[in-house]
Amino acid sequence: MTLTGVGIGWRPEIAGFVADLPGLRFCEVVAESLPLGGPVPASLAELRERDVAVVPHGVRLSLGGAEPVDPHRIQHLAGAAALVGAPMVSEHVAFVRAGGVEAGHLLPVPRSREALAALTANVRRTQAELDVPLALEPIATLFDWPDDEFTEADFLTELLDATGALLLLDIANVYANARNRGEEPTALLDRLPLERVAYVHVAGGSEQGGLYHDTHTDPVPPAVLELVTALCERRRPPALMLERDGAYPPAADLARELDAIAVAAGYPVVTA
Amino acid sequence: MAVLAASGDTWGISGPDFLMLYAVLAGAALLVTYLLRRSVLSGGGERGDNNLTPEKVAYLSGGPGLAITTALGALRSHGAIGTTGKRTLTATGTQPAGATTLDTAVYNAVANNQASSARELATNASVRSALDTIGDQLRRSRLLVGQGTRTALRWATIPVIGVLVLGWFRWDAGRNAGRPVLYLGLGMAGLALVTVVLLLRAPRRTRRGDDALAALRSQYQYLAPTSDPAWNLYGPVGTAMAIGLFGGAALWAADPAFAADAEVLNRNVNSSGWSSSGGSSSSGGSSCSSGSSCSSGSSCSGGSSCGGGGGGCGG
Repeated sequence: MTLTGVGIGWRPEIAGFVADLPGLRFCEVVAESLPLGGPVPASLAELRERDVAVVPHGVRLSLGGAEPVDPHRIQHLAGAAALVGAPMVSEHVAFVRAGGVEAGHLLPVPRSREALAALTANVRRTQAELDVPLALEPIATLFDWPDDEFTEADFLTELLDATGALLLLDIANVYANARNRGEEPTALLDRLPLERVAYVHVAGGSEQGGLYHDTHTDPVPPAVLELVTALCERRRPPALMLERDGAYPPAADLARELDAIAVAAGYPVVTA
Repeated sequence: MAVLAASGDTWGISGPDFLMLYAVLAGAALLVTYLLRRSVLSGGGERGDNNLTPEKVAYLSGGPGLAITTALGALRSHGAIGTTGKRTLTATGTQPAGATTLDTAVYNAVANNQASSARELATNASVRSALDTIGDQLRRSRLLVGQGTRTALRWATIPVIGVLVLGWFRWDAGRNAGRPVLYLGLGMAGLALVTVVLLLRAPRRTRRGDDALAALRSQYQYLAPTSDPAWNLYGPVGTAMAIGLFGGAALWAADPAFAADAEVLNRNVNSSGWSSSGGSSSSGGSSCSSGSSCSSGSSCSGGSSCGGGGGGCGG
């Protein structure tokens, strides 16, 4: 089972809205929010009954850490996948803790050979425990590490080649990074292994103090939708999804955002 | 009777035997009454309501007070009303399109300064009239227990009353013959108590009403305050439905400052359906419709304790 079409990040707060999307074929759920051994939230279980694929999306694995990834966290991710019968799981190319200290958010990995080796080992450890494919999502980088030996595209390509992992591309991140560095966002698209994309995150953001912030709590700006179209012109990903994490608008507005993504990507709308 | 008594046992049945028989009869009568009440309370037949609006749901689950709260929640979510402090409901916008009769009555009462809190709205004539209409609809749909059902429930108590009457005759005969009648008397007192409860109490809702609410609560579980729903996403109708299904606590979750100022009761309507907000005095009847407490009539079987022919027996 592969992901197809336009999906949405399932959150308990919007469960009723997601349940009412007639054309929905997949959604993503925060892996750490799934209770292992416990029952799947009723509204997620109903989506599964409708054959809507549910993809656990991990945020706490810390694949990019120098130390081996915590086996318990891998087990949780694998358990989450089994719980919802997931076709794949995803995690970030980032570290969230180092030396036992929790950073509290996702930190970028330095693009060095050493970091690549550690990351590759951690991804392989994770894959060994998973029954389903793993998709890796590069995170927003507001800065570059001084000793970076790879470009972002080369680093990702090396990682995906070494591990056979899929790519979860966050198009809003691509936009934010390029814009904040004064680069052309399509330039990165031209260098990424787009054939490895499993699905794409589309999120909203806003400009604060001259920088574009990928907030996930604002509407998806037209520039990000244009980048979706630019991506699809190069190689259309099998699936794209709206990632909204708060400040939810009225249902009609959220439905319009989903439709806009479908139109930008040339996929059928899921709201009707 | 005097002849029989003189010959020994009243009616030719020994006290312990009669107590046993009486306990069986009382149990049977209670069972029949329970089955009759069950049948009366099913709310079966052609009727029902496939279009349960938030205000109907609220009236069904919590009563008129909760229906007012749904109207407040919907109007507030539309931006039509607000507060400027404690008990200071005020109109902050025009009446929303598609407002129901109740919404309109509540909006007008607030806009015309006739009511400044949920409690004052409950005494407003137009609001009351709109609420009565909703109640009538729910009774016609056999979701709420109406007067006809209430009468039928009383008639269902007849078997138990019959057993009481029989017991009274035996008690009287036994007492006249100087036989011990304490246990029979105690058993009858217990049964009489149950009878009074059965005669006075009726649940607010029929079983069809309970089932309809349970189905809606399951369908709209995502609107429960514990699910932390995105109120802005679900809008006025979703907020109103959440209040109707889960109580004033939903408005407190969606808009705490407004709920406090409007003096909305911060209460959940529990899953078994009994609301502490705005419920009528008869709402405690559930204990009997379930039949469980009715079985307390089995206290009559205490007669077995005198199987040895003790002093205080069944006449």
